[in-house]
Amino acid sequence: MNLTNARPNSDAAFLLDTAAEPGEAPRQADTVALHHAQGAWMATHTDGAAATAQTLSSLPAGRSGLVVSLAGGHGFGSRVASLGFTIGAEIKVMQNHGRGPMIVSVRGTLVALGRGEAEKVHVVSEA
Amino acid sequence: MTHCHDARGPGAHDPAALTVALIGQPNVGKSTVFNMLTGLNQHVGNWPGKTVEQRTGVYRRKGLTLNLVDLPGAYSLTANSEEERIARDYLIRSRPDVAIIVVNAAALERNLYLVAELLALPLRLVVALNMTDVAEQQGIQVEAHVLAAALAAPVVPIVATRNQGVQELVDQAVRLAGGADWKPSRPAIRPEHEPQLTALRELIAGHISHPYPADWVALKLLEGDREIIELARQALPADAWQRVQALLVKHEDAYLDIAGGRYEWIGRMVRAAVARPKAGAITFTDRLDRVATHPVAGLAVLLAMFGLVFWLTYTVATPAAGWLSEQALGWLTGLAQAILAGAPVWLNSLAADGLINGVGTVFTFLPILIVFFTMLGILEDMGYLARAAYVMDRFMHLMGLHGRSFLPLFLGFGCNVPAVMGSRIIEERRARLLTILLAPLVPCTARLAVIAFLAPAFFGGYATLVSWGLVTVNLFVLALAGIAINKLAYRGEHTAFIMELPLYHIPNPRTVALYVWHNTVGFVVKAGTLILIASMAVWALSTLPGRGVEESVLAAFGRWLEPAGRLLGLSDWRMIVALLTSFFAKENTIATLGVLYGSSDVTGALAGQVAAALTPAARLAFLVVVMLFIPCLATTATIRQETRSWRWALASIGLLLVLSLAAGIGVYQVGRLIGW
Repeated sequence: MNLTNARPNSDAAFLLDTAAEPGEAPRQADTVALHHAQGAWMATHTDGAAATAQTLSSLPAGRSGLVVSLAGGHGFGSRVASLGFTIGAEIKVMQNHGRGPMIVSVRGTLVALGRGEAEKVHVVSEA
Repeated sequence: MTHCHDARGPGAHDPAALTVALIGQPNVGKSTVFNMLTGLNQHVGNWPGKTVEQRTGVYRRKGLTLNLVDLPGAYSLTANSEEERIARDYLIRSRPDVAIIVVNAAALERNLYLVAELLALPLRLVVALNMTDVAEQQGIQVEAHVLAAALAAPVVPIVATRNQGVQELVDQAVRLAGGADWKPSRPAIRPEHEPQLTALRELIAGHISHPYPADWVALKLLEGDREIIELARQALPADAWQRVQALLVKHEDAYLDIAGGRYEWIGRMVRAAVARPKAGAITFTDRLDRVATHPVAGLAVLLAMFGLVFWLTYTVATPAAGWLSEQALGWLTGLAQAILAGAPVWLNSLAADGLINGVGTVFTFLPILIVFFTMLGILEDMGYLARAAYVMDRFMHLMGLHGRSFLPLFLGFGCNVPAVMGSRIIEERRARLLTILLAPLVPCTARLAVIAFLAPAFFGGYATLVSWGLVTVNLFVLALAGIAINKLAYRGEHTAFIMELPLYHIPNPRTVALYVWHNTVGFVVKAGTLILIASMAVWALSTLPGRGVEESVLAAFGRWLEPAGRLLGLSDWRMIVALLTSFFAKENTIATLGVLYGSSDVTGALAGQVAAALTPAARLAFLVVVMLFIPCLATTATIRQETRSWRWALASIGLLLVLSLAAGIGVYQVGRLIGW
């Protein structure tokens, strides 16, 4: 897995590390971690090395991704986490026209997100 | 918890009455449940010191009284918004006897998040599993008894729109409030965060005072909740606070894990209780959304929808308004004259010219408002308005606003007062204030009625074209003002746009009816008070000191302003006075003209008289100024109330005064140059 491709300044690198080696214990207890069940999901859905973290805004309509990290600080993170955007949550893009807001489906509800907000949600998706 | 706690919710005079809090996330039909339980037996006010609507009501059945408190919609109890803070403050401080949480069966996973949060509070909880019909249409089967067993809490399946299961819900709430066993399942924190939570519990032990439960405070601290951190900072001794602070800084991402942990717990509940077929079937909502939220097609749908709203409003309501103004007002005038047959002439004049002409004319707008808000209520309840906000988001961005601001602004076409109040749905203060400032630039029904009255006499066959042009100019000025204020005052800052799109569903007549009621009752009150007073004042000023209109106090004031009016081509003082009285209510423009031109029939003849007094350029300038003039008294008062500052109310008046006069002078001077 190419860790240098992972986004700087986020937990994505560490998360991908965990995903590749589900048995490994988290380095720090407080680090945002992907859990084993989700690691297994990724192993079957992403063909291992193909997964690289990308922004939710870059996923085309119809594609799904797993949340690996949230940028934008506590205020934003706490708001979207309560809406279901937690680490490991599956998000399906319903509409993304490349500009303007987009619509995603998360945990059984449709949520409209501004482009700026969608850029703060980092996901891994099958290639 | 002890359900015989001192602090009760509002209205608990009856000692036998139970206080029941109603809580739920947005778009779960909570209001419908509340309306079904209370009917019109409800009171709408504000939460003390807040601009969030508070609804309380009473439910009565033989030997049973429930005081219901409808808490504002909240996704979580994390104080991300004013609504969430109010909901949790109420639950913690007022300790209702029991809480009913309404959840949407079609979005159970997300909805159970709030349940998970509520279970951390010392609170007895009944789950109302609503919209089970919608869930079934989507092939989602929720086994209520399995969910109840998993949660170890009562779960009652209901369809609030059809009043199904609501009785059973009340029974369960009463049973639980009466002291039935309460040992619910509670989500546990992930093992890796247990040590920190324990450490926090120990650090705060003995320092957190009633009514805050210490365990809950420890959890919210670890979640980084700003309000609770502030509470702890004030309550803890310095050394304990420093250790808490150090721990929180080290574990600042714990909130993501806690949220994740809650969803894992929810996942277990959902896997046990929900049977759903393989996803992939295109649902009704998906199919509609492909068109309704498309950047191009969606815009066409939006324009068509709003075209339909206006068309229906004016084709259905205008005849009714016309009938009211001709038949009902004529009848009233006749009645007044019959009753006052022996009374002095001035009293007759006050009744006919002052009251019936003034207030009566205004009441004739009521059908227009009712139809407009009925249409809007239907669109809102069926879930379309959220899509309209989504489609408009990219345009609202130009003003530094997002799609959500579009909804209150659109309400403004009905009346600016609900538009200003509707801006409450915008969380960010900056975006809210800008929306409030722009709201009076939306041409309301009253202004459109003035235009509809004057334009035909002013411009004959071109009336429709001119009317549309005026509306376009208004919206254009609104957009320009928004862009300018955002660039100058806010330096192009950007607001976060996150909004749930509810599923489409059949609108509920009762919900729509209450929506119309709440939005028009304010107008009736305004017409009954402010406009009544204004009409009498205008009448008095135009009658005193008793030598006829031409020599009245009002005429003197108008003549004094004539030099200013000349810049706009309004060389007739009566036009200036009509404009000034529109501050009391926009509709007053016509009523005042009626009084001043001494024409008791408020129909074509009056408009013709007015037209004859002005050049075409001045007519257009007058209409432009009418459209853009300062917000009416009721709107100004609402701006003051919503912003809690006179500065914003005055800023709004100043902004519109400058804009309207500049536009009016511009139109007149250009018109004169090209020889109109």
